Amino acid sequence: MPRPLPALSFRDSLLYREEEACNKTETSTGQQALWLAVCLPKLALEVVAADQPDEISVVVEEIKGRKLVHTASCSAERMGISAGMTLNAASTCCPGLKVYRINEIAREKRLDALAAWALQFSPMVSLHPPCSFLLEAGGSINYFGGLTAIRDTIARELTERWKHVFCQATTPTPTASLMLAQAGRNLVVERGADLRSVLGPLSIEVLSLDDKRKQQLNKTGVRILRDLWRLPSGGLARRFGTDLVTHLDQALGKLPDPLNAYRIPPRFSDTREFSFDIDEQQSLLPVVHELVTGLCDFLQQQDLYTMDYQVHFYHRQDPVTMLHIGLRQPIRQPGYLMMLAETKLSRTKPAAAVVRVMLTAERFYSVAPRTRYLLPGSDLEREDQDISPLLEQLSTRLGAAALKSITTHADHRPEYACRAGAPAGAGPAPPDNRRPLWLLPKPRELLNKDGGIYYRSRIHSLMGPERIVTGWWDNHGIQRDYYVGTDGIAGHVWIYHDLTTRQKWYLHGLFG
Amino acid sequence: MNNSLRELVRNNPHLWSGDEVCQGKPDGIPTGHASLDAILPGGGWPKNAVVEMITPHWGTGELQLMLPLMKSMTRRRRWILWVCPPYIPYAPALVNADIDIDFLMTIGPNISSRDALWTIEKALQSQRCGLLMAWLNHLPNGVIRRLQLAADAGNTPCVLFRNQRGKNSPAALQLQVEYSDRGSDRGIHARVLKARGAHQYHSADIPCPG
Repeated sequence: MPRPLPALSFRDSLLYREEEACNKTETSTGQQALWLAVCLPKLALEVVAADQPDEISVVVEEIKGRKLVHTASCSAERMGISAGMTLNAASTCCPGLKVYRINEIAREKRLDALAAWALQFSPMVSLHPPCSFLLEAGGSINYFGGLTAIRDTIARELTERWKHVFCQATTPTPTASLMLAQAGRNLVVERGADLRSVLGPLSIEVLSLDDKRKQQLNKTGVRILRDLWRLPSGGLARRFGTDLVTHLDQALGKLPDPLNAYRIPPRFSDTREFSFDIDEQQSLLPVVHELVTGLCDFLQQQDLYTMDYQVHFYHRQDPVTMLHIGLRQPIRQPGYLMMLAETKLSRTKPAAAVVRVMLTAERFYSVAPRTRYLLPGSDLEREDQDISPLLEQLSTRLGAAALKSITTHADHRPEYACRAGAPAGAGPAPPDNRRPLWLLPKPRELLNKDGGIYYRSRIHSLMGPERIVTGWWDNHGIQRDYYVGTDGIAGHVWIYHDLTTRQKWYLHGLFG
Repeated sequence: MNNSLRELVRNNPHLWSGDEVCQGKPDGIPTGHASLDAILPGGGWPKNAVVEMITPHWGTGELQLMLPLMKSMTRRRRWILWVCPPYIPYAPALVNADIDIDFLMTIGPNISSRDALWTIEKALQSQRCGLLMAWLNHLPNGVIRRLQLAADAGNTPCVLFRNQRGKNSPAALQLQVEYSDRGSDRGIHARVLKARGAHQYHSADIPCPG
């Protein structure tokens, strides 16, 4: 079986494709680059407890079995609850505390939505999880009529529409903006030369260092960034790592700071409406074909591949019939996608006459091109045929469960030494003992009469016994003596004598 | 043949000798068993045709006959499809027979015979597998003919395992496989029931190792 390609999430795939160094000191309009950072300190709480701004509530996360406060609402903070407290301590501070579990997916989604929204202010938006994003505002100043206008619009929309508590900082470098926003400073620094004095009083917490280095710095008496700048950078790099020095230099704009640009994830949806009802499957095919062709054009334009798409058939009254077409690996060949849709459609009949057909695809992948063999037309290239289109077609009709590959497994129990299902790489080498080509799914009990064992006729032993006593640890223990036998008619058989209480004879395999 | 006749055959492109046709070109796939190759027209399994293997019971030695072919196919990285196998193909034995089990795929057995036939036809037409083996008992001749066409179009050999011999089967090769027990020597007795391109049908004893 071909190993499935590692599925890249869409954003991952962008990371390596579009790593852009966005540290232009000047934008295309000749304006100085200004980075506007927005930090949403209560994001984790706001996504789970919307519409209750005055509630005394906390979001907790579980770390090593301990429930710790992740984010506390403003009113909770006034009661003395702070992040990092245990839930018990927080409940003691405030008995009527409302507790929410952290929802990282919702938080991530909200941040994505905010980034998409922020694209109206600047073409360059960059996400900084868990709760910040950056946008390049310098290029948009003329369009919006001043930086203040941009900041005001963002502030208004964040408060009124999104209902977020936030903090925004604008400086000439992205790192400095992020640091200031995360430290809760609402300010604008337009000149790079002023950065050092603005950043100086910030606590070293904004560097997001690990606990060990934070403690080390604390021990040396370093509390704020200004203390760091007073230290010689060579020694600082030696003791605390070059990344710390690099980070500081990036904040001051001495080093470039590449960012990942946020792009709206692509989505494909296309619809065909009919002015009349279609109730024949054959007449639907050309329509589906047209839609699939559209999807393939879209994939080609975006240089993407898809692994599943849906075809929805709308009826006048009945609920929508949906065909879900899943693939085993990312694909964009039109003929192939169409063949699968056809196969699926021939198996599923729309419930009633169709008035509208819609095709949607949401999950896309970008795929590294296939390895080509060094010598064109070599034997390997010609013969190593890709069987996946065929398997795809078969599993579309028969269901994925009908297709099984077989692998070996390191177990002395014969029934566990062979496994069906998705291959998990090369299995272990089996024992050298003689094994049958066919194994019965369930051993068949043999007739034992007058001291003889009968299958089709009386079985004579040829080889054996091979004793297998194992598996006592998982309640499927076996104690068996295996023999190779022959009944003179059907060839060699693999039988065993159950040594446990049952003392019976069973047929377990055929040598084929 | 006298001289004048020979002259006639040589000079007239519309005439040929029947012997030449029957001998055929050795274009079969070697079975890996010398005695079996000797009795098959083409010197091996037909390349793009349906082979019917008739055994009284499953496990009589029919799979043993296929082992060398499976080995060479998987070594060439070609896929082998097993449609509706009656039991579990036992991976340790297949590995011991030097077959790369990464290239085996079983389909079924819990699928309807309609689906099974559709699977065989699609697989043969797709040209993407090296060998297709199917265990199906109830096959009308019309269906076999259709599979024969698919195998021909897809240039893929197809082996159908059956318990009973069908009358006037359109398969390119019909082989009866029986177990022959001669003391400790285990063997398979194969008898050609029908072979395209042969006018005399022979039988062979094939020794089996192990």
